[in-house]
Amino acid sequence: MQDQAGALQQSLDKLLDNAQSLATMPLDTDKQLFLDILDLRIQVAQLSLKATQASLLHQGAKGYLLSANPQRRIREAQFVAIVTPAIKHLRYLSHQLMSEVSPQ
Amino acid sequence: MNTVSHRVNMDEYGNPTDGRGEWRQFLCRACGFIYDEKLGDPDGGLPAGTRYEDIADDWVCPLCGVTKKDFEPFVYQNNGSIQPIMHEVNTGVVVIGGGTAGWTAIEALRKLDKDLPITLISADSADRYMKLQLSVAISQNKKLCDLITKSAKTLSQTLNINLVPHTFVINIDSDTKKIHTTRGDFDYTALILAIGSVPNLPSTLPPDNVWRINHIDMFANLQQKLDQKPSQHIAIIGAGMIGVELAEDINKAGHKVSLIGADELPLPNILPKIAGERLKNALIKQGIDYIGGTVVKGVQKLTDNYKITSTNQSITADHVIACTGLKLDDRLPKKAGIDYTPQGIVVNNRLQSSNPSIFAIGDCVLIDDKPCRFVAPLRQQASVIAQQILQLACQDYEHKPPVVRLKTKSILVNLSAMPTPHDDWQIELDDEKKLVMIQSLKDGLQVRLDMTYP
Repeated sequence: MQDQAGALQQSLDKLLDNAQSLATMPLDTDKQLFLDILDLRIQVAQLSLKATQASLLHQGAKGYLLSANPQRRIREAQFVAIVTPAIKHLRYLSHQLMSEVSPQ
Repeated sequence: MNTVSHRVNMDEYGNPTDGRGEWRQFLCRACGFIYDEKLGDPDGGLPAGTRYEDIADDWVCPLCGVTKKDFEPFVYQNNGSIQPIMHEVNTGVVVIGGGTAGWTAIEALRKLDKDLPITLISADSADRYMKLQLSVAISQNKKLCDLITKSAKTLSQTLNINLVPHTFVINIDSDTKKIHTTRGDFDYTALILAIGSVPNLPSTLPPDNVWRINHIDMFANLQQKLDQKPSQHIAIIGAGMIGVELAEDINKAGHKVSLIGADELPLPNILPKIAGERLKNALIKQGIDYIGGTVVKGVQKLTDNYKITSTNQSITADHVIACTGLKLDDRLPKKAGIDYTPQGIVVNNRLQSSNPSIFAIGDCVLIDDKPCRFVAPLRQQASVIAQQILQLACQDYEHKPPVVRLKTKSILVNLSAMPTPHDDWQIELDDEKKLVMIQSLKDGLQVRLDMTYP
């Protein structure tokens, strides 16, 4: 299988490091910092989707059963991706922050 | 079930009968659910045809449970913008920036390899236009559609690339060679940054009060404002090349222009004093109000106009345009972990950044420690980058300083290259038609200034 525990762990470690360093920054209204936070939140949601999908594929039919753990985790991961702020909401916000301000 | 009894305010065809206009729709800001008055929310106790204002305050969104106050009016917009096509591309070249530099890089790559997967990510529509025309387009009454030379859609089809317009890049992960954008993630094998430069607005000039002429969309909005009324008073802050060109152009279009320069004379970093004085006189002769030696301290919005406060006076203007120079937007170079300065990205003589798989082209690049924001060197830069990416025999990029020409009509100014500020100039010719001056640079090169009065 393409997605293995090692690579997933690496991605997770990177996101954790990122979260740690963002957490030490003083929270202000700086646009750059907020963009970083939004980006991290999107990456977290995407990694959950990838990891849970991998866990189901690794188990095969056993993981597909409604009672199986991977099945439940996939739904949990989808929840991370769709619940407010959803991935598309976060991207929309990032787009708004990046857009240029001009006189009206 | 008798559905007819579950309708209010409508006739048998579903048209409104309550005299309150067409059916409207409301969007749940939390989850995206659309409440359609025509359909109502039968499961939530609202018959078809229930007007939004008639909904009780304790009604909740059937999808996510938030209350009525989290809804906003929704109007379906089909703004005709092209849909990005995002094939799964795991390798290939990604170009960030749909300006002239980005397109020139793509053309150079395509010329050498017709199958290489190329993706262009652009913050705007990526339609092609010549930015340098913006500072002279108002008097010629050139509109957005006249300035765009080729649509991005046509170009992307001819060049067979993956076009992702209206998309911002948020992060570059150079370890995993992944780009995070507002439309998702992209992988790259080689990355070309053609991100240009952004206006260097001092904190005294708030972006919601001053216009900038660095992008065609904002330019078009300004143009619309200028068209609304003749003889408006326009203040231009910054008397560099763009400031001077724009002052003449807007003045020619029939508006009253005040050009505010921090130095006594226009173009202080380029022109010797004597030439600066003649340019200043040429501007004044056209009716432009040149306010020199003035540093703007703030721009304030009044009811109908703006108040510009400076060290020695305050004036009001209908619109304020900032021409205060350019700088690098350092977000992406910072995220990618490549070397850069406030002015540009550091590259070697093959336009390669400190990360070998990231290249940079155009206005965002530092050449001999200076940015070179001209169109002329782009083709050669693009061809060096393309050869490198395709691993062909490649020559170093040789920078030829481009000729600098001021696009003013009242006085013609040509410089054979960028001079060094404040170095000595010698007069070679000075008569009633022409002024020629020479600056000798350290390495034996010369800069020649030609000033002609038509």
